[in-house]
Amino acid sequence: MNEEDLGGAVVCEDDGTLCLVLHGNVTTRCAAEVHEAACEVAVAGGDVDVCCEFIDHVDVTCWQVLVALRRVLESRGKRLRLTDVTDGVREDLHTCGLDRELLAD
Amino acid sequence: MKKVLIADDTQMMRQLAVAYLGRFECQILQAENGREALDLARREAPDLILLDVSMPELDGPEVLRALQDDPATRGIPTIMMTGHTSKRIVTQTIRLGVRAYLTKPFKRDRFDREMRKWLPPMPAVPAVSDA
Repeated sequence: MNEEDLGGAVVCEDDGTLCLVLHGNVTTRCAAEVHEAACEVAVAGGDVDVCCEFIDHVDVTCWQVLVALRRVLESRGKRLRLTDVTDGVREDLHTCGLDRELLAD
Repeated sequence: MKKVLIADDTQMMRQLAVAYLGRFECQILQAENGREALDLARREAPDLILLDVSMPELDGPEVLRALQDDPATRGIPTIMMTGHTSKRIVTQTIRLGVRAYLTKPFKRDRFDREMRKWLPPMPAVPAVSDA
C-alpha cells in the first residue's frame, strides 16, 4: 500500500451539527467513500460542516462531490460550510476553480 | 501470511469482521477489550489492527495512544470501527495516526474496499476437472 494514496471521509457530529471530516489524500481512490459519506449526511436533513484540517490534498473528483452535496443541501434550505481550511486546501480549490463555489458563504 | 487483529467487545461485530476477512489471505487475531488488544499487538505484531472506539479496560483512542507511544507498535496501521461518533474522537484519533474509519454496521463493499488496500485476496481455488 502506498501511504500517499491514503485518505478518506468520516461522518461524525460536532455539538449537534453533522460533520464530514476529510483526511489525507482525498482522491479518486477514495471517491466512492466520499460519495457514500456525502449521501449519508445529505439524507440526515441538517446543515453540514466539512472539516478540512487533516487534508493533505483533495482532487477535483472529490470537490465535485462536495459541490453536488452543497447544491442538494441548499435546495432543502440547508448549508454546507468548509471549516479549518488550510492554505493548501484553499490553493487546491483555487486551482480547480471551485473556491467561489465552496468557500463563498 | 499477514496478521490482522480485530479488537471489539461485541462478539457479533468480531464475527462479522472475521466472516468478511474470509475473502483475504490473512491470519486473524481477536481481542474483546482494549487491554487484550494492546497485549496481542505487542506480542504478535499484527500487520493491521481493526480497533473499536468504545471498549472496556482501555478504549480505542487509549489503545491507539499506547501503540503510538511504543516504537515496536508505532508503525502498525490502524483502522477505527465505530458507530456514530463525535468530531472530537475522530480528530483525536486522526492525529494519533488512524488510517481509516469503518462505520458500523459496515457494508461488505466498503469493508472489502478498505481491506484491499492492506491485504492480499484469498487465492482462487482451481476448478476441479471431470477429465
